Parts: sequence; structure tokens; C-alpha cells
Amino acid sequence: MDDLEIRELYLGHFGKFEKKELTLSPGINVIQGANEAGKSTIHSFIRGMFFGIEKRRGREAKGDLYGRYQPWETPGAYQGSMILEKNDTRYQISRNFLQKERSVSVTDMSTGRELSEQELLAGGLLEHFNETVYRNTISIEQLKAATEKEFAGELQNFIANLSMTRSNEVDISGALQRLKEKKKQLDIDGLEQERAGLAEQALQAAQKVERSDELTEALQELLAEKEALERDFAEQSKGFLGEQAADIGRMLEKYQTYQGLTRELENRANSRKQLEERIQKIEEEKIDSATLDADLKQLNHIKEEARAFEMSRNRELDIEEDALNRELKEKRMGCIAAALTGLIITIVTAVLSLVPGIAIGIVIMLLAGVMYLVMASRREKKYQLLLQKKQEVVSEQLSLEGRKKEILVRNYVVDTESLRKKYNARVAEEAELRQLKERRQENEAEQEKYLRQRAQLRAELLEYCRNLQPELFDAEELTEEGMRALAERVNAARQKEFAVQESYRNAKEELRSREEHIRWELSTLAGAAVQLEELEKQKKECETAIAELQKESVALEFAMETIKKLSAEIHDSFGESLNRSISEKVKEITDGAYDGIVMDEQLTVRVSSKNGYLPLEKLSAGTNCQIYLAVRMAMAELFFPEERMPLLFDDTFALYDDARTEAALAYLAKTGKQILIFTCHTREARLLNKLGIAYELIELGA
Amino acid sequence: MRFIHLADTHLAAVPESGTKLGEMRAKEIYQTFYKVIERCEAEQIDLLLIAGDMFHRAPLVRELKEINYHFGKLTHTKVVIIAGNHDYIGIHSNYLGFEWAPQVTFFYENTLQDVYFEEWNTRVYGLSFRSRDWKEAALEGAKPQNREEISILLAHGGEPDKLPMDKKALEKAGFDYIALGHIHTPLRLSERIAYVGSMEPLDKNETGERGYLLGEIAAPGEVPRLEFVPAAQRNYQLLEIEVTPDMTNGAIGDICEQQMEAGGMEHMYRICLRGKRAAELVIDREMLFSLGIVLEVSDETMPDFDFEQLAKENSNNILGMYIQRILEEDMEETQKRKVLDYGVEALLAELHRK
Repeated sequence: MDDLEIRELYLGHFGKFEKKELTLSPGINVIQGANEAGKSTIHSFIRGMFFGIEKRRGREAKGDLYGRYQPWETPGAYQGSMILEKNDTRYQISRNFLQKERSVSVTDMSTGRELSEQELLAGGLLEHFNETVYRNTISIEQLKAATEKEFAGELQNFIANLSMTRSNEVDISGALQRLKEKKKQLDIDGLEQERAGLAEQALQAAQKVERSDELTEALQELLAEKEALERDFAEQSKGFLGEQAADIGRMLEKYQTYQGLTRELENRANSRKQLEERIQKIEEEKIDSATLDADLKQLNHIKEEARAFEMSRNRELDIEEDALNRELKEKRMGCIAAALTGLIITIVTAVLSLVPGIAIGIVIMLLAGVMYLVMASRREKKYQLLLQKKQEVVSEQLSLEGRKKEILVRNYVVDTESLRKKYNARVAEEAELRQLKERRQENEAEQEKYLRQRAQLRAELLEYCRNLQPELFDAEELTEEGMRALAERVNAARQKEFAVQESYRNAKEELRSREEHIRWELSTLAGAAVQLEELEKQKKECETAIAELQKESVALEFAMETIKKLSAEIHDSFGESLNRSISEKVKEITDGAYDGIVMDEQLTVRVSSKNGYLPLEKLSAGTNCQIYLAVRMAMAELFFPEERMPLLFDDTFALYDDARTEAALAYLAKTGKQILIFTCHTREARLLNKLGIAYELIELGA
Repeated sequence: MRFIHLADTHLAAVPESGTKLGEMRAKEIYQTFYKVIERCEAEQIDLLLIAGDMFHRAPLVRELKEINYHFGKLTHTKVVIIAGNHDYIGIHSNYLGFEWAPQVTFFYENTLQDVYFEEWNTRVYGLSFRSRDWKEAALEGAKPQNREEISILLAHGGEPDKLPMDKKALEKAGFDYIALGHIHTPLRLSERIAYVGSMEPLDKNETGERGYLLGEIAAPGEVPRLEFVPAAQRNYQLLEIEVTPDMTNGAIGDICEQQMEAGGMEHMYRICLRGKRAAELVIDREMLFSLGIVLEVSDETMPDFDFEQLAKENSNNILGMYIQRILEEDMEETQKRKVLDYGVEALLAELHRK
């Protein structure tokens, strides 16, 4: 069994100490001092001497001891040394803590030889000895707990952790919780849902694309169907009568017209005959109206003449006669007057004896007389003429009358009126004749026209019928029955054509509506292919992300499992011995009040006593303190089964009552190990005195 | 004879759809397309060959009218176009019956057609997709009619169900140049066969330059001289940043920003962080997204644990044992690293040092 004890401490420059020397005895050492006296400093110094003081970085900078103990006054000097005795050989460990000048040397004081650090650690002075172990075994700090209950809980965790992790520092349940949290945070489910959503959408898009393809195919088929339909119909249409057949109605009308024309021509023939007869009849009469007219005119003339004679001439004559008479009278008067005048003159002149005047007067009487004679003979002549004229008139009138008669007789009439009638009649007839001739001419022209029309219609009809039904019209007859039969046949054919056209139209309409439908649906599916591509891409990205997360998840799971496995292993191996060792020590320290501890599967610790098994929380703080002590002792033993290491107690008995403190101190003394008790009370010293246990007292001043 | 070989322009596509960026990209695609046409006019290029997928999907009539207007302004260049598997000529396609400007020749059939340009003694052959998939090897046996002409074959596809092509056979068939479309990465397969790639990148995995090929064939039989012209307004780029444990978020951000500025802030970046980060550092991904056009941030860094040291210090307890146990496990490295990181992180977090 190796024995390791600390003999001397020399704090060259450390914390508040400068050139402080401390000598420690084997057995119990009580290092006593008030708070801030430097107990922790010395404690840390010891640790530092064992392991050095690294300037801690990162998370660990929290407990940076380097800074804490770097001397304020002399930051540039930071060193010290410690003398250990192992198995009767003394070693001096010297360290310079200053970062830049860090150094450590270990000297074997018996030989003066300096050991290398490897020698120290490996199989040398401090085998298996590292800071963690130090903290788990040698350096016994208080459990920091405010209340009793918390303390029990702390202790419980402490023991459990210890059994599972072989360390009082690692909170395994906390570690597992962290890993669990991290695993939960990987939102794989969320991504899964997203992926499922995308897959769903992609499926729909794919379906759309498929449908689109289907529809495209259907459309192509449909277009082919359309083409076929058109082709068929074109084929069928070739045999159609079509327009020609539509003409049958017109043709029938034409035929009616034709027949009408034929009838018309017949009628015309008849009336032409009548016309001719009439013309002939009229023409038979040789006398024309002109002649009659002339005659009439003559008659008129004659009549006029007669009348003229009758009235005017005679009157004229009468007037003339009268006039003559009057004239005569006048003239006579005049002559008389003249004669008288002459006479007068003569008389007068005679009286007066104006011979010339008498001559004049006589002349005048003579003149008057001559004149009267002249006048009278002239008048007589005129009167003879007049009588002659009257005679002429009568003979003229007679001649006129004769002429009139001649005319009348010539015309076989008795009087002018009849002649006039005859004339009128003849005029009428002549007019009629002219009309008739005109009509005849017109008729002829019209006849021509009608004949032409008829001939044309005939030709058309024949043409039409031959085209429709050649066999029917081998004969050049256009008959009623024939036409009717033809019309019937044509109508029948036409019905069939209509039926075909109807069905074609219906089929076409159906195809068109189907086509519209398909095209409309296709338009709603447009863009599905692009969408699908996009969705597939996103889905793949999602899947990659999920795969990544799953790897993380697997790693976390594996980590958790490994930790659990390890802790079970530790529990099985170390835990067992730990519990046994603890039980032993519990019994010892509590003086048999408690037999030991047991730990169940849930790592719940129970203490066994006469009253059965009690969980830690049912125990008093004091008892729990004892149990804690037992645990620490057990740990030290388990870690260093072959060595006896010093134990450092840092204010550990604070919660103990006197009785327990006594018991603990007694126990510790019994172990025979070097014990360093750092305390700010005098109690420990006092009790040790009471127990009569030898100890070294080191008092730290302020 | 000078020509421009263009393909997979995917007009009317909206990359990164649903984002403002996406809207811009859709516009930029059109802009770049029109710029190419402008170049044809400015430099009086003889032929503009568009090897399929000009549109991202069956085009609308008004879309065709727009681009046809631009084609119509060309005073010298002749344009030859074929349809690809995205804008295939289906029964509905508005390509059918569309009246192109006289400068444009469009091959509608899925059998080989050709058009001869006397002014350059050049015959262009081509065929179009009439359905989404095309499993027949329709180019089998294709060869130029007359070796005294410059002959160019314009085709889209080259995959088993998208017009499979025996490229070796085609190489020997006698065409002076075979202008292909469909693959979005520019790729010169041989002296005479090339995929020009997409004009603008359409997907974040299409990193690298994109544009068109400017080519020249001096005479029939001559090997074509090809020059790749990057034309895309924006590229996708992958930034791989090596993180070290001394870096803070600020440092990482600065490095990213520097690299993005060097590469060009107009581009679209995917940031991939690798290496070891300080154990307690939580990478601020949001900050990285705000540095520019960042589409993706992937954090492949591992926390900087010195497992050996930890194992040594904790050899007696579960932490040390855990490390040992995992290191001994037979599993794939990255996974092992993950398990170590998680476990150690959790155990260390619960390591209460006093």
C-alpha cells in the first residue's frame, strides 16, 4: 500500500500569500481561519501544485483560477512549491504558474534528481491521478444545498451519478435530457409533413400531366375521327343530287310554266284565228274611211256652201240690194240735194243775177242729174248683177243639192247622218283593223317569245331530267306523270340526303362539343408539367434535408444509447462495489445506526435501518451529511485501492451537529490517513481536543 | 461563316420562384436573350442557332410575338430554331401556325429537315421535339448531303429518353459542327460536337459561367473555332469557407463578405462552412444570409473538442469512457464525429466543475 502525504507547502507568490510556509503533519491537520483568510487559496494552491493552473478558456473560464490567484501585487510572480512524501521518499514539486514562464519541476529530495513529468504521472508518483480524480476523491467539498430537502436531493443525485458515471461531476440525466431536447428540435416530422405535402402535390401534378397526355391523345383521335367523318360525308355527298335536287321544285314550277305556256300558245292560236277572221272581214269592205270622210266633208262643205249661200249670200244680196236701194236712196237724196242745191244756187244766183253762179248752179243741177243717171244706171247694172247673182245662187244651190244626193247615193245612204254613222263605223272599223293588225303583230312577236321560252324551258327540263334520271328520259316526252314520278323519286332521294346531312351535322356537332370540352380541359391543365418539375425538385431537396436530419437523429440516438449503456455498465461494475463500500462506511460512521444503502433500478438511494428502508429525504440533514462523508470515503478507496491518499475537507462539517462532527472526526482519525480540515470554526479543534485526538493546528491570520 | 450557338434559354422560366430574386431572374433571362440578338446585329453575325428549349414551357402567342419582333429587326443574321423537350411542339403548341419573321427558319418536324443559305454556302440541319419524351434514335444514319457545303446539325437531347444520340457515330458522319442543347453545362465533347449549356443558370446547382458559343467555320471541312462567351447576368457560386476555432461569427461573416465582394455581389451564393469551430460558438446563419444574395448556408463545421485530452482527463468516468467507446465503434467517419460531438457536448455541459 502506497502512502502519499503532503509535508510542506511554500506559497512563493500565490493569491494574497507571499513567501508563506506551511508545514503539515501526518494525521489530522486543522487549518483554521476566518472567511477570506485564505483557506480556499491554500486549497487551490495544493491543487495547483498537483496539476498546474491553466488559464481556462471558453466555458471553463468561469472558474478561472489562474486569474483568481494571480497575485495582485506581483502579477509577474506566480509560483510556489510543495513537498510530498510518498513511501518515505520526499519529492519537491515546484511550479511557476505564470503563463509565459510556466514550468514545473519535481525533484526527488533524497537523490536530488529531477523527475520528468511523465515519470511523475505514469507509474510514478501520481498514477491514475488527474484533476478529475482529485476532485472526486481527495478534495471533498461541501454539497451545496440550501435546505435539508435539497440536500437530500443533491445527495441522491450525487450517489446516482456516481454509480452511473463514476464521477460526481457529471449529471447524466441532464446530459441525456439535452440530447433528447436536441433530438426533438430536429423537426423531422415537420419536414416529413412538408415532404408528404409536396409528394401529394407532385402526385396531383403528375396526374394532371397524365391526364393532359390522355387528353392530347384523345384529341388526336378525335381530330382523326373528324377527318374521317368529313371524308365519309364527302364520299356520300358525291352521289347527292344536291343542288340539282333542290331545283326540282323550281323545275316543277318551270314545268308548270311550260304547261302554262303551252296552253297559252293554244289559246293564242285560237284567238289569232279569230283575229284573222275579223281582219279579213274588215278588209273585205273596200271602202275606206278616208273616202267616206272626204265625202262627208264634201257633204259638209256642200251643206256649208248651201247654207252660206242660203244665208249669207242671199242676205248679202239682200243687204246688197238694200244697200243699193239705200244707196240709191241716198244717192238720190244726194242728187236731189245737189240738184236742189244747184237749183237754189241757180235761183239764188239768178236772183242775184250772178251768171256764173247760175252757171254753177246749173252745172250743179246738171251734175246732180248726171250723177243720178249714172248712179241709176250703175245701180241698174248692179241690180242686174244682183239678180244674176241671185239666180246663180239658186242654180248653185241646186247643183249643190245634186251633188249631195250623188254622194249619198254613192254611199248607199239616205242622209248625212247615216253617212256619218257609216263613216264613224268605218273609222271605228279601221281603227279596229289597225289595232287588230297591231295586235296581230304583237301576238306574233309574243308568240315568238313564248315559243322561244317554251322551247328553252323544254330544253332545260329535258336537260335537267336527263341529268337526274337519264333512263327516264330516253323518250323525249315531258309528261305530267313523268314529271310527277320524277319529283317523287327526287323527293325520296332528297329525304335520304337530308337524313344523311342531319346525321352528319349531329355527328359534327357532337365532335365539336367534345373537342371544345377537351381543349378547355387541356387549357386548365397547362403548366402542369412545369409545376411537376418544380415540385419534384422541391421534394428532392426536402428528402435530402430529411436524410440529413435523420443522420443527426441517429447520431443523437446512438449517443444517448451509448451513454445509457455505459452508465449501466458502470453501475453494474463500479456501482456495486461503490454501494457496498458506502454501506460499510455508513455503518461505521453512523455507529451502526444505519446498515447501509441500497440503490434500486431507478437509482433511488435508500438507507437501511432497523426501521426498514428509508429514502434519503426522510433523513435529517445531519444523517445525510454522514452518508455523504461515507460516500466520499468510499470513492477515495475505490479510486485508490492500493494507495493511501490525503483527504482535504473544505468546510465540510458546517452542517454537522456536534455529535456527528465528533463521530466523523473519530472515524477520520481511525483511518490513519493524512486529513486536512479547512474550517472557519473552532469547533473541529475543540472536539478533537475533547476526543483526545492528536492534530496539527494551523491558524491563518487575517 | 460566323455563328452564335445558343440553347436552353428557358424564356418564361422563373428560377427561385416565389421570391423577389426569382422575379428579377425571370426578367434578366429575357434581357440577356435580347442582348445576344443585339450582338448578332451589331457584329453582323451570319447565323444564330438556337438548339432547343428556347422557352421553358409551351409558349404563348404574345410571347412569340415579342421575340419575333426582335428577330425581325435583324438586317443580316439568319436565325434557325428547334424545339426541345420543354417547349416541345404538342398538339396545342403555339409554334404551329406562327408566322415568323423572314429571317427565322423553324424546324417543326421530328425528322431531319434542312435549310440552305446560299450567301454562306451553309446548310443547317435540324429536328424538333414533338413530345415530352423521345426514345427513338431519330438521328441514326444522319449525314450531310453535300461535303462541298458547310453543314451544321442542330439538335436537342442526347439522353436515353430524350433523343438518344450515338455521339461517336455523329462525329464521323461528316457534319462540320454539331450544335447541341439540353445539358445546362457548357461541354465541348470533341472538335465538332458541343453542348453550349444554358444561357443563364436556372438552378442553384448550375454553378459556374453560363453564356453562348461564338463560332467560326472558315470553309467546308474546317474544324470550327469556338469561343465561349459568358453572358449570364448572375451566376450561382459555391463559397466554401474553412472555419478555425479562433473565428467568431464576425470573422466568418467578414471572410464571406470579402469573398463575395471579390467574386461579385451580383451573384447568388451558397455558403458551406467546413472545419472546426470553437466548441461553444453558435454559428449565426441569419447574419450570413444578410450579407448578400445568399441562398443557402450549410454548416458542416465540427466543434473543436480535443477528444484525446478530454479522454485522458476523464479516463475514470463516463465522459472518458464515452469517448473511448465511440472511438472504438465501427462506423462511418462523419457519423462517428457527430456522435462524439453530441455526446461530449451534452456530457461536458453537465460537467459541474466546482
